[in-house]
Amino acid sequence: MELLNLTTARVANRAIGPNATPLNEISTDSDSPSLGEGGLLVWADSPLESILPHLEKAARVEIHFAAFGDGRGFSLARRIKRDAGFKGEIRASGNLIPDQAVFLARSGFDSILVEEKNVAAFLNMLSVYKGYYQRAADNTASIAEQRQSKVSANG
Amino acid sequence: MYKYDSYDQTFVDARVEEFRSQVERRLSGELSEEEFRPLRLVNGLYLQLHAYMLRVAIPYGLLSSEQMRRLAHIARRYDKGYAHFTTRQNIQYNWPKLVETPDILAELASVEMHAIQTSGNVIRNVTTDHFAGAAADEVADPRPYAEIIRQWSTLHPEFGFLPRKFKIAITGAAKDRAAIRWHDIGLIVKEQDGALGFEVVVGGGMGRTPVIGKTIRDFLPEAELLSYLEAILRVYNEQGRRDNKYKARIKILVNEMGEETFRETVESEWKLTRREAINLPENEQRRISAFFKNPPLPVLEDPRFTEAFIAPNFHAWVKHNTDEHKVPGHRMVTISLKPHGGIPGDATADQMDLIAELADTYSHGEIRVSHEQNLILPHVESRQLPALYGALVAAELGTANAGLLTDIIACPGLDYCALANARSIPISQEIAERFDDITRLTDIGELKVKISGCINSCGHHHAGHIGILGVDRKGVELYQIMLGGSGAEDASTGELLGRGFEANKIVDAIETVVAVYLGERQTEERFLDTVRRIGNTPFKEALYGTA
Repeated sequence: MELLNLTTARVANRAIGPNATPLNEISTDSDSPSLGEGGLLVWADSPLESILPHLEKAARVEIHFAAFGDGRGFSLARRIKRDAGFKGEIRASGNLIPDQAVFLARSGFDSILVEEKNVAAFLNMLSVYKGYYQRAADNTASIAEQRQSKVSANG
Repeated sequence: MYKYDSYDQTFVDARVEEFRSQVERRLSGELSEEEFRPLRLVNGLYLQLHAYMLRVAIPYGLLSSEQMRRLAHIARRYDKGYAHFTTRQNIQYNWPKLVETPDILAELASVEMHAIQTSGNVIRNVTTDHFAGAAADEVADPRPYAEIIRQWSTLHPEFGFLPRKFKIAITGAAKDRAAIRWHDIGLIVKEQDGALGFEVVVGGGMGRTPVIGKTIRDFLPEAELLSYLEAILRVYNEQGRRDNKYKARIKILVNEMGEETFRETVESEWKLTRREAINLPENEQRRISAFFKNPPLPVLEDPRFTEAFIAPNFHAWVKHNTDEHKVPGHRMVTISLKPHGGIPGDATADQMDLIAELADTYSHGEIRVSHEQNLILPHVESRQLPALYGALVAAELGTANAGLLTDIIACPGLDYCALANARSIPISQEIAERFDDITRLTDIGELKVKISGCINSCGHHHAGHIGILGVDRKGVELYQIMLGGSGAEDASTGELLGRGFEANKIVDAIETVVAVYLGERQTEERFLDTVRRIGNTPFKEALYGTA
């Protein structure tokens, strides 16, 4: 597997790191302040409420997609950032297709684990479009906002 | 109409190149069909019974004459010389070659068109009133909002893999010509205290479980449209069912959560989304709205057509196929794509070219596609109607049947579709041939017949005054009849009469139903109103001999 950095649109120059601790394996009586370097493993269909109590112990949340068609993972990433104010890394893994690279980056994911043979396809997808129509979790200006700032710059 | 700027053009051009590389990877074997499938679907490319089918978006049904000519050219160059206009105001090509589909998309991009999100579990082409901007009964033109939604929904990063497809329709008129209450989201533009906004209807849909949409908000200020839509879509994306594709539409979620809980969930999510930078900046809304100003139309006297003008059926055509324009002396003209014996919604490349020319001559170059699969010239001077009618009749486009019994919506059915159980097109053709006489059709009056070749109801049979559903019973195609459905502002679901009829009996059965209506109707009463007044029993007795 390779780790892609969705912000720089390159292969990350750091190790994938140890495995994350699955949400259903966190022991409830543990008073350890941290889940360790691997962080927390959740699924695209994990309810936000089940994740919230563990977020402050995690430096990273890995959202695993069992099937690429399960779009819940995109909304979950958005909520972990927006509603829970999580500042750490959100990583995508599992059954994903290259065409989802941009969707992941724009829904709040910071990195993605992909098979080596798919690295080029995923990276290519990140540079297909020069702009997007809506404001999303990546907080870049939408095409509408770009239009308006161009008008005011010219005007 | 809306014109692309460099941002829009760069975007669709990039899309074409992206798809070109995907098709190359498929043809070289690098991508399997399984891997290619989701990629082709979001570009409107289906694999049908006999061939690929390409569905091209006609955003909210609005076309320029230049675009129509390009669609004709594509039909001629890449297909078999014809194309099919759909119930979602789109156009479909039934025989494209996979290797040529990127070229077709490039041709489309050259006239500011695309096939983005015409398929797949995404927000589809937004549909609207085909008379938008021209209708006399309009509160406000819904097309700017439709364009705003088109842009917002295009490649929305969070809503590319919804539980199921998602359809939005919007109207700005009192009379609902866009089947608002049959959509996942229906929006009705309203004015309240001098400000514009929307009534928001959610959870309508056809398919196996017909549901009429419910109003979840009476008035949403227009500036907050996108944040509210985003809230609805997020709730649906997270909570819509994914375990069963037949229960995955938002109508099921609304029913299972309960209308009140659904509303509260959306409203509390909206409290968050409206604080984000999701709503369109005001300047941008003004910029988009400015594209939809009508051409200058002088106020004119309505002419009186004397005997000298009379071509066969001209008066019937004016009565049925033209409607009141907001500017006196003009009419909105419906070009029927339902010639008796033809295929509903089909047009040849030559007909499309002619319609483009007629649009230039008579309608300021503007054309609309209606969800009833007809084409509209929205801004025609009344005094030009005889000349226009003559040109249409010569091209077999002058059938005077808009809104009448033979203005049938039919899905492609078993002749094309991989899902169908029964043929739809031949049944619609036989009905039209049986009721060929325009005088008889005029006497019967408004009667919407809608035919689906399977339970997925692409032919909108649930919303037909007479709905016909093709089913397969032990290898035999049978056709069930339902009565009393409506896709208009008085939306209702048709009720099944009884057991189905074989293909060679269904037209007789329709004739029996019409005869019962003619016998029972009171003065000026529409078929639908008679059915609502007397119920199904008299029809059942006539068809089955028992109630």
